Amino acid sequence: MVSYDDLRDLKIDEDSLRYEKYHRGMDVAGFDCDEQGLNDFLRDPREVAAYQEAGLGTTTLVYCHGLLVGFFTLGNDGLEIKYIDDRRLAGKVNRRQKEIVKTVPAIKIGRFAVDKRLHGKGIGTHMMRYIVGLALAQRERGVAVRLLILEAYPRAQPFYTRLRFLFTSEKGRERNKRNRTMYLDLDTLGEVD
Amino acid sequence: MTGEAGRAFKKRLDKPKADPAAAALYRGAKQAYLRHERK
Repeated sequence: MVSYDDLRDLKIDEDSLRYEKYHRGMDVAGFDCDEQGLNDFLRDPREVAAYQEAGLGTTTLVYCHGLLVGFFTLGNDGLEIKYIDDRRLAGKVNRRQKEIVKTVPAIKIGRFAVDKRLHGKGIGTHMMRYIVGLALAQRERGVAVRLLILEAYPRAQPFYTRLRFLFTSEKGRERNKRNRTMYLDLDTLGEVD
Repeated sequence: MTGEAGRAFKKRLDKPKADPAAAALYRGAKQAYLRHERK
């Protein structure tokens, strides 16, 4: 059986990860991402399972060589267009569309965590690439999505910045918030596939 | 808005503002996702 220590010494590439939708009864007790709120969410079925069964967010567990190494929770959401700085918004949204579409369709990353024993191994980047791929596939299958959005803890903000997420404009509710809303505009990716 | 400023504003709206670093980071992401989905 592979241990977390063994994984630390291994190169972890994209194809060595396995993604599995959460369901009740899965063993998640050993997971520790060093963030109490995220650990509690995953370990307590009244949170993670209830959230999923209520249709509020679907959690995916991420494994490497049989060990639980991360998880994320996704749901459909939107971001009011007023929070996106014009200068940073990729083109294609014209003034008339802006008047009609007040909210830009988005996938909300409600939770995102990697086990603390494997921080720095690139697993978070692989997971985000998976989510971007899922969003692009969803577009092709007939559901519009323009942004990925999340609420970032202060200490996670540099990580998301490295993954090319931007801060929303500091207007209204964003002002003085500790956790900041960040977004990735899929249209800035060009023709990625 | 007229003249140079108007043209610049229109260009900004009409033309996607690509992020080359993001494009490089996420290149192949959809294919990788579909590969995982088929597993």
